[in-house]
Amino acid sequence: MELSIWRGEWGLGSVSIECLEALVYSKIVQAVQKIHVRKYVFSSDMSPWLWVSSSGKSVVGASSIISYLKSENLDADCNLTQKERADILAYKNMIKYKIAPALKYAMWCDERNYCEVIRPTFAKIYTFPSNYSMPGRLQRAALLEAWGRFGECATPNEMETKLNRKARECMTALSERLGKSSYFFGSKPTSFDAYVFAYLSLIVKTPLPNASLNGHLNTFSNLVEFESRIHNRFVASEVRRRAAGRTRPEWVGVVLSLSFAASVMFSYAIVKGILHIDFKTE
Amino acid sequence: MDGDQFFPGVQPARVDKVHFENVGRTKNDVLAKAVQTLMDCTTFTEILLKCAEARRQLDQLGAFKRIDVEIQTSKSPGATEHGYEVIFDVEEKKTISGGVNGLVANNEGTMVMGAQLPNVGGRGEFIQAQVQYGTKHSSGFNITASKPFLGKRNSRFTVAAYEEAADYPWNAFRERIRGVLAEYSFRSLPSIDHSLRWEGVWRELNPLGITVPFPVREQMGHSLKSALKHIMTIDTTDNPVLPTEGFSLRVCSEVAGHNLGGDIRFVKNELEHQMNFSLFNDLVLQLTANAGHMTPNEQHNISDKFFLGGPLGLRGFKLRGVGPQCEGASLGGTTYWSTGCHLYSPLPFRRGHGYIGEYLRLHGFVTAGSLSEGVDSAKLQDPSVSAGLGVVLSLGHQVRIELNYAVPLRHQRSDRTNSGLQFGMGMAFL
Amino acid sequence: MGTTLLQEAWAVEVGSREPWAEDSKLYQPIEETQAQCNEKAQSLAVQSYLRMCGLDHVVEQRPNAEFISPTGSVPVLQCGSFVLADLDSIVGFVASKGICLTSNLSAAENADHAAYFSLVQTVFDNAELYFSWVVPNGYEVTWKRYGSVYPWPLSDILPWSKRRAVKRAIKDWADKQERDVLEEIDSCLFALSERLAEREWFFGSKPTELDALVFGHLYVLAGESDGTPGSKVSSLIRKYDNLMNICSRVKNTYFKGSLT
Repeated sequence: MELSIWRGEWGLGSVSIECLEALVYSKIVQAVQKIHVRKYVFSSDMSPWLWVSSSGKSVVGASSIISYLKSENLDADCNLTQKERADILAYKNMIKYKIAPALKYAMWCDERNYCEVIRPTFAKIYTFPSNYSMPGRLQRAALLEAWGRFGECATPNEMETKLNRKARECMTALSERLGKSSYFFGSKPTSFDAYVFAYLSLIVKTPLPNASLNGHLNTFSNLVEFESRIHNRFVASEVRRRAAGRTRPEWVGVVLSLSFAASVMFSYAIVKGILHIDFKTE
Repeated sequence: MDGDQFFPGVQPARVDKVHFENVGRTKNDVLAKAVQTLMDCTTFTEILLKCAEARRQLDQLGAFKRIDVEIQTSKSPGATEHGYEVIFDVEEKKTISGGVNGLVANNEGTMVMGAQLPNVGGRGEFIQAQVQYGTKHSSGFNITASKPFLGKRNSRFTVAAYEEAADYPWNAFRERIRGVLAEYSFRSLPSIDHSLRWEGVWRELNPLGITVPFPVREQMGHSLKSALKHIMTIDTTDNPVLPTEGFSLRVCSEVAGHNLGGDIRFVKNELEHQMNFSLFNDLVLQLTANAGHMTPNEQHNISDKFFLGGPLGLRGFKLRGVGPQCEGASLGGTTYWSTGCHLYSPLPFRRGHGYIGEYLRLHGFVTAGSLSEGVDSAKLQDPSVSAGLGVVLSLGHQVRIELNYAVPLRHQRSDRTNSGLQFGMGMAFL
Repeated sequence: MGTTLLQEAWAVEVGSREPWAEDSKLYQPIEETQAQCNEKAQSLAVQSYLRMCGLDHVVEQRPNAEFISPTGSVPVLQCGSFVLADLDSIVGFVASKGICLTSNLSAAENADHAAYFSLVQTVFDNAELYFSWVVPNGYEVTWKRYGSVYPWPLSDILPWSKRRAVKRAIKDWADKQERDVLEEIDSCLFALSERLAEREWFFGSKPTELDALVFGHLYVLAGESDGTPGSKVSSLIRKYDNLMNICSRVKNTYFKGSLT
C-alpha cells in the first residue's frame, strides 16, 4: 500500500491535518510501504490518498483510509471498550468544533499570520499557476466560514478571543483526559492519538507571528510532550528522509534566475538596437 | 430681451410665432404646452409676464442647462400688425451625467457613485441612481424616477426605491432601512406646497454595542411600515438657513398601518412653525414653535418616535437627550412640544449686508421643550429650558453650522445635559 | 453581534456581586406557531437547567426573541441588568453566583463532561438546523413558521435570508446527505447511551447541565410528529431505552405536569 500526502513544512509531516492523521495512523499500524509526497498540487482538496496496489483500489480522505485499514485488520482500536469508543466520539467532536475553527482562524484569517507565513508557504507548495490563486481562495473560504459563525460585523479581535477561549476549554479537557499517561486510551496508540496529534502538531510547529493559540497550548505541558512523543516516534524519520532527499541546492536557483534576467536584458538591447553585433566578413 | 424700450401696458400686441432653437430630445408637445398661454396675449406687458412664466415652466422640466428668451417684432411673411416673434434659445442637458465621490465620516470611508439621466423621455422625466458603499456597514442605494407635469399646479410624480443604514449611538441601535415610495407633489395656492406620499419601509434594528439597555433591546428586529403621509408647506422666508423676514409653516400628518398593510400602526401629526422679524440695526428676531403627537399604545417602535435635544434643537442638551431615557440611551416619546427664540445680529466689526454678514451671524437664544410618552400633562407643563450665545454659519444657504455656548436653565432628572460649548451641523433647526 | 464576549466577561465579573434576580425572565419565540425545533430544544434545556439549580424564572414568548439575543440564539436570559444567551454562557453566569452542578466531579470527569456537552450541543443543534432549514420538506414547514410573525413581503424574504445564513453557518453539515446526518445522530445517541449505561444521571449522583441539554434535545426531537423529517430522528431515539428513561426522569422531577 502506498500513501500520497501533502508535503510538510516547518518540520511537520505534512501541512494538511488530514494527511498528518492518515500518515500517523498508517505508521501506527505499520501498513504502508511507501509514502509519496505530492509534487504537483492544484486543488484546494487537502485529503490524503491511499493506493492499494494489490487490488488497484484508491481510498481518499483520512477517515475513509482509517476505516479501510481497520477493515483490513489493521485496527489500532481493537482493544477499546464500547465506553471508550463513545468517549472518543465525544472528544473528536469537541476537537472538531472547538480546536479546528480556532486553528483555521489563526492560520488563514489572522491577517499578519496569513501574509507573513501562510501565503508564502502555500504559494511554494502549490504548482504554477495555482500558487497565485489558491491561497487567496482558501483564505476567502475560511473567512466566509468565520463570518457565517459570528456575523459579518464581528471584529477580528473578538472572533479570535472567542475561538481561542473555546479551544482552550477543549485543551483543558484533553490535558485532563491524558493526565500522565503516554497515550489517550490505554498503553498503545490509537486512531484518536493520530487525530489529536494532527491538530496539536500544526499548532506547535507552524511558526505564526501571532501565536496566541500556541501560547495557550504551551500551558499544557503534557499535551506538548504528547505531540513531540508521537512526532519522534512516527513522523520524525519521515521528515528527516525528506530533508535529505531534497535535490537542487539553493545556488542553482539563484544562478538560473540571474542568467534568465541577463539573457532577457541582452536580447532586449539587441532588438531595440542599443547593442549592435556585427559579423564582419572580410 | 430689450429692457430699455418702454411700452405702455395697454398697447395692443400679439404673438405671431414662437420659435425654439437647439432643441434635441425634448418633445414638441411639452414645449407647446409650456408656451401655450403666450398665444393669447393682447398687450406687450402680458407677453413679458407670460414669457417669464413660460421660462419658469421650462426650467421646471429640468431638461435645460440654459434658457434665453428673445422677443422680436415679427418680420416674416404673414406677419400681423403689432405682431411679435418669441425665440427660446435653449441648451439641453447631457443625456447622462454621473460621478464618484469619496468621503470619510464617523471613522468610516464611504464611496458614493451616482448617475443621472435627465430628460430621459423628452418630457422632463429623470432617472437618478446613487450607490453608496462604506468600508463598514453604511452601504446603501437610491433609485429615483420622477416626472413633472406642466401647468399651474406645478405638480410632479416621483417613485423611488432605496436602502440605507445608520448608527444611532444615542439610542444604542443600528438601523437599516429598505423602502419604496410614491409621491405626488403639487401646489394648491401660490406658495402652499403639498406632498402626498405612500411609503413602504422595511426596518431592521440591531443592537449597537455591549450594554444596550433592555427597553431598547426588546424592540430590535424587523418591522414593516406602510404609511400614507401628507406634508403641507408654506414658506415665505427669504433664506432657508438665515432668514431675515417671512414665516414658514410645515404640517405633516402620517397614518401607518390601518388597512395599509405592514405591522406598524400609528397616526402621527407634527407641526413646525417659524417667524422672522427684521428689527433695527440689522437685528433679526426669530420665533419658532414645533409640536408633535402620535397615538400611543399602538404598534410602533423606537424608530417611529419623537426625540428632543441636540445642538441644533433644544440646545444645551445632548443629542436626543431630553425625555425618557434608560442607561444613557434615549427611548423617545409620543408627544412633544418645543419652542425657540433667537436674536440674530451681524458680526460686530462688519456691519451691513456684506458678503460675510450674509453667511455668518451671532445669535443669542432661549429654547424650551418637553417630550413625554403619552399625553402626560404634568411632564409637558414642566419643560426643559436652556439659553446661550453662539455663532451661526450658513454653508451655501443649505447647511447650518452652529457653535454655541449653552446652559440648561431647567431640566428633568433623566435629561442628559450638555452645558458648555456645543457644535452642530444640519439642515433642520429649532 | 460580536460584542457578546465582552458582555459575557463583564457579566461574570460584575454578576457575581449580585444575587440571582427573582424576576429573571427567559425570552423565547412563540412556541406554538413560530419556534423552530432547535430553539424549542435549547429553551427547554435552559429551563430544565435553571430548574435543576432551583433558580426562579418566568418564560416569556416574544416574536423577536432572536433579535433580543446578543448572539442571535435563543432563549435569552434577562437577570437583573444582564442579558445572556446560549446554555454554556448561562452556565458560566450561574457559576459566578456560586451555583455549580459539576463541582463535585473529578478533573477527569469534568473533562469527559465537557466533551459530551460539546458533542450533544454540536450534533443535535446542527442536525435540528439541518432538518428545519436544509431538507426541502422541512424547510416548507419552517418557512411558514418563521415568516408567520411578519407581514408580507417580509414573511417571504426573511425565511429565505435566514436559510442562507443558516446554511453558511453550518456549512459542513449543509452539504451532507440526509442519510449521513441520521448516521451521525445515531452514533451520537449510541455514544450517549453507552456513557449513561444504567445509571440515573450522566455524571455523578446528581443531574448536571449535560442532563438538561440531553433532555432538551431528546424531548423535543422524540416528540416530532409523524411525517415531518424529524420523525426519522424520533424513531432513532426511541431505540435507546435508557435515554428515553432519563428524559422522563427529568420531566417528572423538574416539570411536574407542566409539559405535555
